[in-house]
Amino acid sequence: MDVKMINPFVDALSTIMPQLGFQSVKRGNMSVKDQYVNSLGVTIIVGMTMAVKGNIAYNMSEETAKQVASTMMMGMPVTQMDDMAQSAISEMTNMVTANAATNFEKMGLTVDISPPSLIVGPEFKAKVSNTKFLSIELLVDSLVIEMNIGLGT
Amino acid sequence: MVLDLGKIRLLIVDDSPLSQRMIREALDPEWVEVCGTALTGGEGIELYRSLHPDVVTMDLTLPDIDGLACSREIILQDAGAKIVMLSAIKDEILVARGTSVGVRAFLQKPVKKEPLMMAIMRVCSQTDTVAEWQSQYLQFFLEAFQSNFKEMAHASCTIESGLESGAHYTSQGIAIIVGITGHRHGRVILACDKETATRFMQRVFKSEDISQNEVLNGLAEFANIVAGHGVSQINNEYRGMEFRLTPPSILFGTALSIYNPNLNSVLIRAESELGVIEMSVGFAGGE
Repeated sequence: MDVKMINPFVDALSTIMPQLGFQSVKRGNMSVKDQYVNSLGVTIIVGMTMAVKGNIAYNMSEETAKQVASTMMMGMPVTQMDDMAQSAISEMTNMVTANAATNFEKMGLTVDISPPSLIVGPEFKAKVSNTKFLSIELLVDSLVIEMNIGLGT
Repeated sequence: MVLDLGKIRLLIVDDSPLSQRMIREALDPEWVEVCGTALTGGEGIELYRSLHPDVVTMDLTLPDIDGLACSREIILQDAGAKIVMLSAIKDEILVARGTSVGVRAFLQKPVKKEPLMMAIMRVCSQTDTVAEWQSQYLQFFLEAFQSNFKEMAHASCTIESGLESGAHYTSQGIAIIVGITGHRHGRVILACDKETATRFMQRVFKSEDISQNEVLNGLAEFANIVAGHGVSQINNEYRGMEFRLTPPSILFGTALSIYNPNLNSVLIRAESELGVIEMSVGFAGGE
């Protein structure tokens, strides 16, 4: 998979998270993986069609998800992953992916995205691509959000 | 459009007398009547509880709590509450925050007649149009499921289908998600336990000896085929839908809870000698 598929997502997260109340977004480790994404607790899958096809799996711990939801909801305490928190996280990934879609558009690639599916459960795995995919960790303030990008043209 | 007898009852939550007046003047009195007005968020929550309005217009800035927090309180009391948010600034952050608490529509102030009436009529008629659309697309996916299951599994199945309630789908083992894009956005989930998937793929491959990967990829391909046939039928039948599918993603564990907010879904449950396979098909929006 082409590394240039990563930048639209990193840029999107860097654009959206500050608008949701976060201070900084930094790149962490990046690696090429194949086979499966091991869920960190909360995994959100968003699909892409048209000029770029595939899936993106956002992956984070439940603690991170709760803190992201809390910040999005103007600091309201979030003690469990209830519907409100799941809805906030789904919306965050939807916004980031939509923004990434706009970034692809700027590269001359028209894409469309599917609604996010948020998955929770004990120790599950997700397969986003039949081939290798790119995995990048992003540090949002001190929270780790892993993006697994299995896309092709 | 089918509406209940009587007019739509509207609660206005707005601290500005000027705004209240503009909202009243923008309403079509033939369809909508104002059943109450609240000047604060607290009053809005109280009046919602006592008046049970059909729809609420909610100002973003209120003297006590903001319109988002007030909407959230109301929706916590009544998940079916229909709230139209009004604010001077309408940007994607507000829409995202509002959508995540369950606000149905957003309008920018000053309020104008056409957009306000359209938003009110749309949120009040959402259930009718969604139900119609669901019964239409359910047929296509049912046919796609039945014919492909029969062909690939060489088995007959008993099918139950109907509307799915709630935003959560739970699978006891494997779930395949296929996203749908186009004029409407949605997703298909095909799910079953590992034993059923294994028996199913043993039939398809005509072999007892198949790996976990073959089972997972085989089930993903089945989901892809069924979803593909379903959306092709819809694309042929309805011009302008232009549905496309994302490649299937595969999930496997012991208990998976899949959450899709704001989707209206139908569930197909197929029981056969191989076990139970379920398929949930949902689309966003009610327009």
